[in-house]
Amino acid sequence: MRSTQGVKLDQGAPPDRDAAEAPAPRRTSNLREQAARIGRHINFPGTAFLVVLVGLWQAGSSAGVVPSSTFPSPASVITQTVDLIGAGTFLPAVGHTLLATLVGWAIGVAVGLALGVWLGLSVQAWRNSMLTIEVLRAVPPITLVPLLLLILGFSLNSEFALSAYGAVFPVIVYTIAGVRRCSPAHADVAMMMGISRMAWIRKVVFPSAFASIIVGLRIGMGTALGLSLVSEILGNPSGIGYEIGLQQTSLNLPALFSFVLVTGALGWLLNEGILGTARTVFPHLMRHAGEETALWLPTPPSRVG
Amino acid sequence: MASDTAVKSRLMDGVKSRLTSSRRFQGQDNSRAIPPILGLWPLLLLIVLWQLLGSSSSSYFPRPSTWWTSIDSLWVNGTLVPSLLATLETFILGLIITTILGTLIGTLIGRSSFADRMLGPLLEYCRVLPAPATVPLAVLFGGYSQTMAVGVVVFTSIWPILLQVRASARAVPGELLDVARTMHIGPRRTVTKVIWPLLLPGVLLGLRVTAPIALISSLLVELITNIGGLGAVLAQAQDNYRAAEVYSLIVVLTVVSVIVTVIVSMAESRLRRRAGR
Repeated sequence: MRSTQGVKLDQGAPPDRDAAEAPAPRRTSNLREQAARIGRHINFPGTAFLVVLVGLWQAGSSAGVVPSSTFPSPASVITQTVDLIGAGTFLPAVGHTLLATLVGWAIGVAVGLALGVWLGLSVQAWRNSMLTIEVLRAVPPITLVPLLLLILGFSLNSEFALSAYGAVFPVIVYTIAGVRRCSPAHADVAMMMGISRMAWIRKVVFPSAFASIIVGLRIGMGTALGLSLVSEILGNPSGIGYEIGLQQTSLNLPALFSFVLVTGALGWLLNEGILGTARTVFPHLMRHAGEETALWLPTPPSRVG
Repeated sequence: MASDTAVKSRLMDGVKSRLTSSRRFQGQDNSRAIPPILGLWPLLLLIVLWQLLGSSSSSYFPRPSTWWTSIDSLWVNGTLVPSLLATLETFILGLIITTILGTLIGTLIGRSSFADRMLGPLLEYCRVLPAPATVPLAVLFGGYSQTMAVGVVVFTSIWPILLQVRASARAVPGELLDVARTMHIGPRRTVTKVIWPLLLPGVLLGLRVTAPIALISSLLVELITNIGGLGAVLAQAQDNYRAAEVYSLIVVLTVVSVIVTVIVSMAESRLRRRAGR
């Protein structure tokens, strides 16, 4: 996974009083290291490889090596995308899916964070409800698509409900794990200071759980996007999913590719959006978390699935 | 001055009691342990209330006893078992291919820093590409066949295991490889004695994350393309507004999903114990 570190310099930033953790180590001392980090952030070989790949694909299409019946040329995909934007179908579809995913995700995150903090802090609550949550989490979310389409009909509401359902469980599980990671020493110090329970959650528990929560948010976003797409493919007559189904039936391959490829871009954008927002709103926590917000870490035993 | 000490001691008592109460739930990570059976009561209560207060003829929320009748009729008319087996076949084939390919490719990419940098963005893009969007493309290449279904399962569920193994392979310490080289133990034993034991936890973790995704992907393909399997049965039940059947299939698939998770977790802990970590 690419480095998730920000490239922003942290010199001159005011000390964040909310960061109850130890101050983040100074990393700007070495200019060369800083330049290397920015360089690493751009990843030239990776970008070059993508460009070469698309170039080869185009060359293959032009030479007739790549059959256009399955792989339309990149040029035709781009022209088709421009045409679709001009015709006013592309952007509304993307907007619809984006709206459905984001609203559903936000609902799921709100519920998931509240439940996660509660179950992570209270052993009683955890004992009395965790197995129910585990059973509900085991329900393959995809099976709920037919059910919700049946109950709520082919509407934006069913998309909201599905995205929320997809997001809520990863957020709960990762929040619980994160809250449990809060060190007893930090908790004790906070207690000694005699701060209120809400302040304690905000200043001690939240910073400790932060990295884990970010992982939950990212996984939840992936599920939310996938579920809104399925419900669009199966029922709702709008959004990218619906367009994908439509273009597949009419065998308009450049348009099909254009809509499929944009879902990946959307997934990437939403993922980077979470990290970028976190970096802007919680710069200290994000810097302190470092690689902990990555989805794949080389130290497996401490992760939950 | 006596009152001062009294205040102090009362303060300390307060601090102590808060300390112990905080200790009770802090620093214990049982997020991976199976939660106590007690926690099932909210779900059971819900089902009992649903049964007592619900009606059998409700078109959206039929009471749980009707779920049983509908699963029974699916069993009797012979759709349940063959469909379940078809789904499981796609799932298991997909998972086996995914595990092998994911481990191999992940190791190769993780061990070569150039390949790692070069393929990084492409892998990241493929990971975030939502599974449902890939199904129409897969149909284009593979037609409505089981090969296509397995292909979709592999393409959509390979990323957790591949990227996890890549992260683990990246972290294999170079000193250990140097030791292997100094001892002239040969490439085969370097892989089996040095690299594999270090990768195993990553592979197992990746497998645990991948298995549910593979099951969901198998259902997804069936649901969208209507090729045989429980996903297709589910889609038909929805099309014909048979709510009880939809609920019963959800229950069946949840049970399957729980069994898969339990098997994978058991295999993981057993293999990990045998590997001594």
